[in-house]
Amino acid sequence: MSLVDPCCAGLAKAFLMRTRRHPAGSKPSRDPMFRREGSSFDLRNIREYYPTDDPRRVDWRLEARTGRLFVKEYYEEERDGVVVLVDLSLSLEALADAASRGAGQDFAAKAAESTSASIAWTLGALGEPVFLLAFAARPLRALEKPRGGLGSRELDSFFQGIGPEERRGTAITQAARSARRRSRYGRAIIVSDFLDPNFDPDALPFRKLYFVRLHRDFRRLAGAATDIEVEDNESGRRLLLPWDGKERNNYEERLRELETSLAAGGRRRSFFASIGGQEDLPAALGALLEAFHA
Amino acid sequence: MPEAASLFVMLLLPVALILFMTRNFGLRIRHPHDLLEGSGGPRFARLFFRQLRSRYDLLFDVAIALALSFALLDAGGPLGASKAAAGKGRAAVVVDSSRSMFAGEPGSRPIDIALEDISGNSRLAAADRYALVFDPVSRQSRLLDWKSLAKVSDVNGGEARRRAVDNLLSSISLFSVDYGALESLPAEGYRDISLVTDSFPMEAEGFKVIETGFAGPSSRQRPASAEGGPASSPTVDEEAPCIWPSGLRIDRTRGAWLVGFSEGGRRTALSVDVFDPATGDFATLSPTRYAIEEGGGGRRLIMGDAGVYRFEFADPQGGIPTVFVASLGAIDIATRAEGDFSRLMEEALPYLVERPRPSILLVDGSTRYDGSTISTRRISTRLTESAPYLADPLLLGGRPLAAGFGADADFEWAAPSLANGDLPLAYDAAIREAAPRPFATAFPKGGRIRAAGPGAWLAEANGEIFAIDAPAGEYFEPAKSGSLALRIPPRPWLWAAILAVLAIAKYSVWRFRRGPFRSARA
Repeated sequence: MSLVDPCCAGLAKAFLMRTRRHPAGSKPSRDPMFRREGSSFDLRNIREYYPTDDPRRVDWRLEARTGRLFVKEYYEEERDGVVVLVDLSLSLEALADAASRGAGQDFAAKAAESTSASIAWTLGALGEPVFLLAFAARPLRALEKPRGGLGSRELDSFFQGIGPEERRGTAITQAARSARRRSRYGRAIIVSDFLDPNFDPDALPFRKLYFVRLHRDFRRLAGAATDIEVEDNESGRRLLLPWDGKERNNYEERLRELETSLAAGGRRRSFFASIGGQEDLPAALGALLEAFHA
Repeated sequence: MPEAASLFVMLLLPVALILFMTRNFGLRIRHPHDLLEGSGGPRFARLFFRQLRSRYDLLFDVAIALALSFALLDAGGPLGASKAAAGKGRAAVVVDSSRSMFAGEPGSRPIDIALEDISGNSRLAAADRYALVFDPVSRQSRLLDWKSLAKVSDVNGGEARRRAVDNLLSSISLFSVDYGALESLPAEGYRDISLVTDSFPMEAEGFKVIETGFAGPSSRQRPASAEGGPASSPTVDEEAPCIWPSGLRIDRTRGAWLVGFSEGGRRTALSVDVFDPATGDFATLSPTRYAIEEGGGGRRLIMGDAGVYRFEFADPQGGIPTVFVASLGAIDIATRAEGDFSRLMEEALPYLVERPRPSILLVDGSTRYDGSTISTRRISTRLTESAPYLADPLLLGGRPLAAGFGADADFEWAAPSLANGDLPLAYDAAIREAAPRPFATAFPKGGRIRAAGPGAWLAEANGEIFAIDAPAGEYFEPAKSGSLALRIPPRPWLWAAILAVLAIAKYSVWRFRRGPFRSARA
């Protein structure tokens, strides 16, 4: 079963109307003839000046040589791509453990992979250049599509073969810097649980940030239980938790702090969505695309 | 305490089971600890308080188990009685003041030895002292404060001891005492209880027994472990007179009562008095009206007339005399028979003499014997068609005799019963049961009681005079049998209050912990 959620195709189709780009993979997107005029440094044409042209675009050097007025036409700018950072640390397995007793088991088992694959595929379908980077304590592997058009099989194979030993720890900032260095894209979508003690949104080298937090509300997991044994996937430590008002308040306070910091995004105003299960994915993806094309 | 520990361990088993169940079958979640850990303070303190909060209910359960184990032991729980723990609480020493304690000559009587022992032991001398006596008014044994007997605060002085013994002799009944009266002491806060007696016939649990030795020819040696007995302590007089009625029966050949005595130790002078109902007192009986002969183990008196007699054996050393009373009825059992069958039975039993004013009335019909009429007892008989039951085997020495269910009559016979040659045995046993008894060993309910001597009493009840003598144990050392255990009285309200407090505390903590959940969800 593909990691890309079935809702992505519909979302991509709906948002394609808002972009001026041709669909990724279509003939116009490949033929320079269909490339629109813009203000990049990529020269498209030199023609005679018309009175309706902007006088600032006159090539005065050419006028000096020829005595006639010419203007230069350029292609439109290549749009800035997006980095999709996906956290594959073992702590994400908590989602799978929590959902294994109910519906959405397939999604929950690979929540990070499925969410990031859906995002990357949708953006690729919209023609956005995508740089996909999987990380844990260090960058694990990367995939770049400068002209969009990520295939679902390509995405499935991207996530295969990452062992549990590689997935210990979370270093978001390090992965973000690596991605920025390698892609030079100014926007980043980070799919993670953000349980990184060194995580600081201000330290991320991107112009625009989009946070997609995968999580499972511990309050729902605990239910009415008063004593819970909690095992940490990464460290393997077990914690006997008296789930009383004090612990609940602590949890809520820490959760609020994390979500507030993600929503604020440090000095920049960033996008933040939270996904607790497969049912949250379409809405979160729709909101992300809205923010992306705002 | 070992009982409390074992009971506590048993009660902890469910708690351990709950712990095992919660540990192995409780909710387990795989979830990052990042948002759950750390609420300030050192890691050890966080861990400790977290465990404490997590296992608070088990701590309460352990406390409840502990309280339950003590409560069960306090109430005489399944693992045995809680004994009055020695060395805790107040100390009391109880002096047995029954008849046997005063046997022998002054100075070597068990009571003298007992008081000597108490004075020579600092622990016993400092303890609260009581006399265990029989109260004829309430017909119960009770504890008298020794200070009120000695009438001085220093009860250990020689003069105080003598005065207390004199007061005991003059004021108390010298009847056999019930050691069960000691059970009231733990309830009054006494935990170190000592009983000083001549010979304790039971096993003591929860209190100490100091035996002085029984005064009489059958006495055992004084126990070597007698506590605190000084080296110069006097010993009991084993040659003290020891007398007890050994036979009280009718000799039909002589037409007289034979009153036999078993005598040990030195022989003493015997005097016989007869009760005069007109004056309500005893008068000396003329020696011509009785005879004394030597029996097997002691003297034997031949009494020709019915009456209430007092036999007094003087103490040659000036001690208290030995007194017995006996109510000797008519030599022949006076009966009257009404009805053919009853007359037939009367003729079958030759020792019955028919008189117009009988003490026993044999009647045909359904008039049941009414035990309340002492003067004339009725034994009624009814003849029926069938006798599907058996008569009381006790009446017939175990022999079977067909009988009906005598709802209205004492006996109900049918043809199978009449054909049985053992039938007169039932009447013989019933008549002997209904005949007046020479003496009783227990005080009857109601009526008036008067002293007839040390350890001898007359009780008037239902128009009849009962002669009551102290039991044989006051004269002959009884064999040990049974046991007496003093228990600390249970305090159910105290333990109920402790358990209630623990339960409320547990519930309160539970509510306190649950409260924020509900408010947050709301």
